Amino acid sequence: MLSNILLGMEHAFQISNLLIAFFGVALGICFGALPGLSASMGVAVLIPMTYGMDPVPGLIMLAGVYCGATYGGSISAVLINTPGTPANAATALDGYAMTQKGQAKEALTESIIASFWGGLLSAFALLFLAPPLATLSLRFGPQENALLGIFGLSIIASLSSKSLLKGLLGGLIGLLIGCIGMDPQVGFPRYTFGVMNLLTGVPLVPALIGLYSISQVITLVSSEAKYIVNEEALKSMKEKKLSLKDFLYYPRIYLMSGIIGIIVGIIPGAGGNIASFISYNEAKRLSKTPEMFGHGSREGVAASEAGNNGVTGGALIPMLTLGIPGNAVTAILLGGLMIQGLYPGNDLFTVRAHITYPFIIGFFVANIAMLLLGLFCSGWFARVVKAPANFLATGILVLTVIGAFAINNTLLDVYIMLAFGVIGYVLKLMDFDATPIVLGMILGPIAEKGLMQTIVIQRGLVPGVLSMFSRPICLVLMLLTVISLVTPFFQVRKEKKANQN
Amino acid sequence: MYKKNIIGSVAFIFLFAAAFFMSGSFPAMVDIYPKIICVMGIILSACLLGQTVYQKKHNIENEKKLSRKQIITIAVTLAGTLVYVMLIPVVGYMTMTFIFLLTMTFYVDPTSPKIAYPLVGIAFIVLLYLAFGVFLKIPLPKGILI
Repeated sequence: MLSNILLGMEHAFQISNLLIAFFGVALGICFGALPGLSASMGVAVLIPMTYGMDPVPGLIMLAGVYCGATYGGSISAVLINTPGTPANAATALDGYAMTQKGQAKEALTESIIASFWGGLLSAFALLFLAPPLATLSLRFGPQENALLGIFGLSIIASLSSKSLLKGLLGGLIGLLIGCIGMDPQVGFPRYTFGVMNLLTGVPLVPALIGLYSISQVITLVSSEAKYIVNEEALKSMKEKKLSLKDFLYYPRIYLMSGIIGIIVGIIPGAGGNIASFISYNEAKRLSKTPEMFGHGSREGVAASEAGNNGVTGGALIPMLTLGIPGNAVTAILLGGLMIQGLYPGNDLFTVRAHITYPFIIGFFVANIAMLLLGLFCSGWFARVVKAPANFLATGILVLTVIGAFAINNTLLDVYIMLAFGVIGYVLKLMDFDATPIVLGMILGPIAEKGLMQTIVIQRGLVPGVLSMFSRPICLVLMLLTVISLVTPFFQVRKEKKANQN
Repeated sequence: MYKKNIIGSVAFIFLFAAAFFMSGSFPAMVDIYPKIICVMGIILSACLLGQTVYQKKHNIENEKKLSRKQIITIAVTLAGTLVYVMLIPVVGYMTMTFIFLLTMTFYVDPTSPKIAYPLVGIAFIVLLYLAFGVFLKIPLPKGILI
């Protein structure tokens, strides 16, 4: 493992890769700082750019975008009380209160330092937890793969906070889209309508760009707003000298929130917003001044930001090892891996170690780049929120068109992207979330392949299902699936009870 | 949300039903998985329909409608993008992108300083050319013009 880490450092510390990490982080911060745009949109738009690059710099850039966007959301949360991404909602509680007190620069400094510690801890978790977990994937047969796919799909239940029914329906739409193309058993074409390009299925990345980016651009265009936000708060940013003490203001909170973020990140379905609120609550519970929380507590900003950045590396662990994308960004990143010909599992950490370890070390680099850019350029990034909506929307549209084209050098992918954009927007109007659809598209074929192989090997559906009960990993996966499916119902009941009280 | 849910759930029932009937032409074994999905989809769509009708009184007040202007803006943006993509292989990527940027940014908000539209357009295509054409070496679609 040490040799792999050294190999990773050798690649990741090349000047070109360092520059790419900075570039990715800077882009990510811009995407994160703009309310309405998100980490998922940033990664989706930029994936096609990485196709023309070598895998290592391409993946490092995506890691940078992911880290940068997760932090970037705190800039608008602190300055204008509008979280750039849902994961920064808890930051706004105290960050904006600090801005109102004239402590905007202090809040921004705390948010970047806490983000850095959270991100760094999660990078360590990724480096040391992912390889042993990946070896577990070697014991996976068809039964385990089928149940792994089903377990991944069960995440949809916990992702559907607005409506469980719509979440499940979205998942089924994704599964149906996943059926398009040749079936995994005998290669019979399904729902291709004679289009040759669809034989290998709906191209994932154009579909992702459409669902996450085009639908958002349509929302932006139809909002009739001249700017995404038009606030005077940016003028109130006063310079504050950075001291060494700032780097470790709340070590206990960074550690605790970072660990919470990592654990939440590993659990599929739970995202940065959950991690930041749990971290915020825990920090408040343990604080000597809990009454300050919500009224401009620097501790609150630290807890929330360390928590949501802790998720970044944590969420990559199940994605890289088992192929379960825990949230929207990792689902899109999985697409980014696939277009580079990389597939999750033990091979990533053995045969493809020369790509995976530089990527993981690149994750460390991205966090350092995020710290430097956040500390010294947060004022510039803050101005991004004043970007005119018309230029922003049209610019993203043009970028998505060339991005979708660049994957296979065909305009068909662009049309597919536009079609998915319209589908995504219509579903958004109906309060459907795009993530269950994406999970269905990615995990459906895995589940189907495993299930069909099980049926063939065990000579029937019933013997196939029964064989799953004699395999320990299958039993664990079944248990996890049941927990994943049942938990949201308990949560809804708990919330109802709390509301009644 | 009432109308949207009703239209959506009925559309989903039709979609899953159509996919179910199409799967009838698939060979044995190949049809099992899509059929399971379609049946579940029809059941859940029917549940959504039932739930929407049941909650009609509560939900109808929350109905958010797009204004006429918004609908026109969305339609023009989508139609414009479609025309842009269709004309790329005919006219050329760079030229079409510049025209698209110029017209679309002006259409979405004509109140920006007039000089900003061509300047942003030129800056953008230069950046795209450098990023995709030079740095990533991706062949950009060419037509009669560049």
